[in-house]
Amino acid sequence: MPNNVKTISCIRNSTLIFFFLFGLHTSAIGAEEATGKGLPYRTVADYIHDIIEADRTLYTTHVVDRMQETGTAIASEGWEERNALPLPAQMLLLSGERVKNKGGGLNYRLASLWPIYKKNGPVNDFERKGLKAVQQNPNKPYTGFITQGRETVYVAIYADLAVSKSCVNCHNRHLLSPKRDQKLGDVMGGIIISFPVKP
Amino acid sequence: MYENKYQRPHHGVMKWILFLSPVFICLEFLLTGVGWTYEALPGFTGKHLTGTIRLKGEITPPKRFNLVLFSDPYYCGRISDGRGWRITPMPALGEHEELPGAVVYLEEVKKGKPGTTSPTIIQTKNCVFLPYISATQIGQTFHFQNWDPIQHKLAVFLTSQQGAQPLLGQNLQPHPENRKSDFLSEEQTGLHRSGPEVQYRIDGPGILVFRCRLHDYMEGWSVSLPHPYFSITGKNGEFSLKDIPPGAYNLIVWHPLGAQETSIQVGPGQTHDMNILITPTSPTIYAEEEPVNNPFGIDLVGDSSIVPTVERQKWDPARERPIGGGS
Repeated sequence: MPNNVKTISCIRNSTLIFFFLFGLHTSAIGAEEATGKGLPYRTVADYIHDIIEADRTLYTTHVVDRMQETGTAIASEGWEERNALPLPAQMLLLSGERVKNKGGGLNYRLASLWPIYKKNGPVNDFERKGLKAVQQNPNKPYTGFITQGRETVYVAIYADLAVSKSCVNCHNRHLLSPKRDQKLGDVMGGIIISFPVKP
Repeated sequence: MYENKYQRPHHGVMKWILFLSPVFICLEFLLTGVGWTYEALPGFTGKHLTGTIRLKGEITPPKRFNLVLFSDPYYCGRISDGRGWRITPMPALGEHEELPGAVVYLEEVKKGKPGTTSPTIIQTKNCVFLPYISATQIGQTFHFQNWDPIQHKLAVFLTSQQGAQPLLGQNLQPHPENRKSDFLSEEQTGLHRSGPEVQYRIDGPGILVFRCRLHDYMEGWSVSLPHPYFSITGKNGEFSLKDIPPGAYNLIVWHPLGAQETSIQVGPGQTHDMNILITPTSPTIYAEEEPVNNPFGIDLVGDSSIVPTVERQKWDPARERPIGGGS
């Protein structure tokens, strides 16, 4: 086989291998939510997001704020050591972990491009792109599919805004915070919801 | 392990990040995770660099912590403002704004004088990390010692622009004969004795933060470097780096309040002397303000008050510096 034919063959094979290995991982917004049956994935994610948002808001206003205003209890990052209430963000993370441990496939968590702790940063390029996208356009969730092992997973990232002064203060005052100029209404990160789907 | 944890961020991105946080600034200046090996040459002699560091500009007010919301308010409140609040450490600037406690170091040195392997001792005493700021060479071991009569929950973090990474979490037990009541009695007969040490070997470059999970106001910093070309500024902001190999370097000044990078050329000749002015780069921090009707006021601890028998902290916002000392 002439050298140039060998080269073309090699390139073709490499291209096929490349798409086989990486093609499935990069399908993002373009492959939007065609379920065939039942609710669109985006609608399901919206419902879950609404519940998470409502729970956190109620926990903040009806538990944390009231307990603190009356001097009954405080909310603190070190809630375990200090016999305090978890911060609203921690509450969301804790409930997300609990749901994940049930093994049903649903995951949700808070993440940020400027997390106080590294574990709360983006874990892959999709999340990184999504957090940037909702930063620029908070009204539009960033959605798409990623591959995890043999599973196809639908992911939706919603902007998470600084809705209360306590959120802003905590991030701006925290010793380990990499961003301390947050203001009310800023996008502080995102709520990432994911669940497995049939391709 | 560290090589992957610590990557020098992209320069352009870091320029944007610079104004956001001193922690980011640390990263901009820090050495890369790749290629930080250092060759120690026994008997090496080189040039000397001395100078003074001054801080000029508006300093972000310190953080304040309501002592009654944390463990051991009476004991730890022996350093407080007398109204039940603890103020985070602020530097006591000299008459001409000289900055004590800043770390001055060269960014990249491949070989030169031998370093030290002696341990770096970090004490907790009166609910303060001592020293507040330190510098260490990779391979050195931190010896954490609790000299208080109470327990501390030590947490060590490596800072980065992707968020902090926990490196160590361990209880620091008090010496069994240290009694809190002895420090709080009228006679104040308490003695500080060290409890069992916790050791941690530092194996990569970075800026570390020490915290106590029981007392949030406790903080300590350490800059870890591959080489021994670093110095902590003294009371008058003075520093000295000895036996530097001739060459071009970035000289970094780092402090939680601000940082500065300066290009220098160390050539043959006598000792170099330089004065560096750094400006505070701390971003906005909302100092905690006491609510008008504070449900967690000092009355929570009963009839008595939290008496600052070790240090009465004062902060003069007009002069932007601690009054009557500080650390």
